Amino acid sequence: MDIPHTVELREDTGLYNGKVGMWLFLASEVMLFGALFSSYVLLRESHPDWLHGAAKDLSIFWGTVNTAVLISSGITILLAWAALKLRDFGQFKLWMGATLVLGFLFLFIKGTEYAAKFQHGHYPNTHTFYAIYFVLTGLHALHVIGGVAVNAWLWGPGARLWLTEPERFTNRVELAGLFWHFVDLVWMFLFPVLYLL
Amino acid sequence: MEPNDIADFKRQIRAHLSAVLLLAALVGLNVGVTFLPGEGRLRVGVQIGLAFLSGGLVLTCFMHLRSEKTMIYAVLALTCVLLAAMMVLTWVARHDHPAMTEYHPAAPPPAPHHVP
Repeated sequence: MDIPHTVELREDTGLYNGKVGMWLFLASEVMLFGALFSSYVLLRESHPDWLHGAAKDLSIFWGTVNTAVLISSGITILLAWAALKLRDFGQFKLWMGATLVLGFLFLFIKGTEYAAKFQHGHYPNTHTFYAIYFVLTGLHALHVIGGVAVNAWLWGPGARLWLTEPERFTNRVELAGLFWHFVDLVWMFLFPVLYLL
Repeated sequence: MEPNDIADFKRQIRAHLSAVLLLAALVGLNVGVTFLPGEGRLRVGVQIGLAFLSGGLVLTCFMHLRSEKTMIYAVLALTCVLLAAMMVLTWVARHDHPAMTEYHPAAPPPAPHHVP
């Protein structure tokens, strides 16, 4: 059975269905993270000694490194999609592989940061700041894991679709890229809010 | 793709790559502001502003919102309205604590009396 509008554009929206679906999903994600950010604002404003003995323990250096890693992975996934548009499957494998490596690197650094926090006795129930820190960064890390899983599928077994339906495969990579850039976008707010303020 | 389209596409990709440099500069600036002397709402405002600029760059360049279809804009406009409403409601109600949930910092222990 053929699924309609996986490649050809709909007349009413001018988009293929996957793209509409991805943007609707991202809109729901904005509300999910938005609710947590509003919780952050509420907790920060309600707690007179919000940062006392807590936030100074976060490493700005490693936060900055992780930001650089995510920005770099945003470039590599863009180049992976561009390679497919230019019909260069070898370059796609290279850039998508690099995106995977950078995704794993981000998770490794985040895991190291978590381990350091636990070693210093900072848990979600230690302090209001750490409660919201672990919830926000944990949820973000889950999204990174989800993105890495999808990217790994597209890099590995899912890439077989390129042989039969290259346009459809390119669209899938574009959608994976949209999600990955959204993960990047969320971090652009998480980093200053948690590490810098 | 036609040869002209390919050249145009490559030009767009190069533009994206230069946007990355701007993004890195914004992040660097945000980190730099952290080390400036002084605290307060102004610094928070500047850093949040820089975060919005960085986020806006990701949205417009990497997520291609600069040239999207009307339906995507409509979905995002509704999302923005709902998000803004949620944030405003949170801000307006930030001092409305339900009974028994207000935070009272513990009073400092009294200074020890000197007993002769």
